[in-house]
Amino acid sequence: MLTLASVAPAAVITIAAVVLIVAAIVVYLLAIIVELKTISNGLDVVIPPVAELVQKTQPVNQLVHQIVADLGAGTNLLEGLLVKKAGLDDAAGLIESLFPGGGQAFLARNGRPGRPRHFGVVYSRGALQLARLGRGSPLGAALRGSPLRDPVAASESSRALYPDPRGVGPTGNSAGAPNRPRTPVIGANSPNQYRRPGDDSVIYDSSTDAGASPRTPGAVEAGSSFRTGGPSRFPYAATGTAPDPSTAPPRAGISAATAAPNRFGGEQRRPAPAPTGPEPTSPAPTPDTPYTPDSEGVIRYRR
Amino acid sequence: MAVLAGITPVLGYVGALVLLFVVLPVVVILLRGVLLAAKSIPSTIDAIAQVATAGSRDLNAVQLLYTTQPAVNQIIGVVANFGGSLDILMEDA
Repeated sequence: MLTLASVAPAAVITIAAVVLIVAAIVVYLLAIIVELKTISNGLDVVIPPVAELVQKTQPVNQLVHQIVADLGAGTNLLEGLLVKKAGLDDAAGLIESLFPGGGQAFLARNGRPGRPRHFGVVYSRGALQLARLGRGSPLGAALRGSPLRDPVAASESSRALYPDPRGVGPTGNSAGAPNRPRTPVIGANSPNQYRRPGDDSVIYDSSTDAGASPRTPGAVEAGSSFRTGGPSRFPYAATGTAPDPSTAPPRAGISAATAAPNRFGGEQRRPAPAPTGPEPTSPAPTPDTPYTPDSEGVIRYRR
Repeated sequence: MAVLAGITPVLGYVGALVLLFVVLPVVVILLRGVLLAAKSIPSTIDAIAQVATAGSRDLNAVQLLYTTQPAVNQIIGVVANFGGSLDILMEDA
């Protein structure tokens, strides 16, 4: 019969050590299994939000690329317009003055190496005004001082720059005047020479007028009313003398309605000088200036 | 043979002592390290879950990109019309 006394002491120690090792392995492995189970449960919680992240970020790449492409098209449009209006060198200088480093990149995109010209003197004022006008923009946000453009009273500020010859404003300027359209530029100096709709007037051509006397090319003709074709209602035009200054309107500018002195120092607004280009073929006669036949000796005007 | 018979009990004692004082501590240390590493993972997973949830909540604004893209298109159209008008109004260099 096998008894403990019959077993060697070394075998007893070995058996005890093996039992302890197995026990330790069992205990720790059970604890590790519990922890792995906890990890698995935690991953079950983590995976849905991560999948949601992937799902939400899936269209971002395509949309951002489309937006970048659209903005790039807009940038190319504005850069092309700037190049067309200001030229490549000036456009690069202007971009450089607004966005340091952008001008050189702009030149590189247009296939021209080098640095843009420095326009700190030429464009600094214009850039400053543009930046101050855009006070709400990041470019103008860092500037100090009041903005040039008042978003509420912008119209009043701009209208104050112009005179009010009609004197309809309460303070003598246009700021408080009722909103009336400004008088268009008409007459011989008008930039737009066109007929009104329904204008059935005819162009008078002396070459087709049987009653017109023969004209000498370049000769100064006596003044006459271009409206009626008859004698001029201005005596000095018929006599060929200068107009009487005593009959001229007062030199000092006053407001016609309020008789208030002109705040612009009585300076009379003079018409812009006539263009120095070739003389038009159909000069519009005025009552105080006699008209002249053209190179063919023909007088043409509208009546 | 007599010498060998005298050494065998000594080797048995040495083997048993090595098993008890060397192998057992090594096994315990290794298993304890694995257990500590496994216990540190759940806290990390909890942090990841919180971050993922917050990130998913932040990405709700991504849906606005669907409206931003047409808005950018419209703005570019306005800029194009504005540029065309400027092209007519302003003289070229």
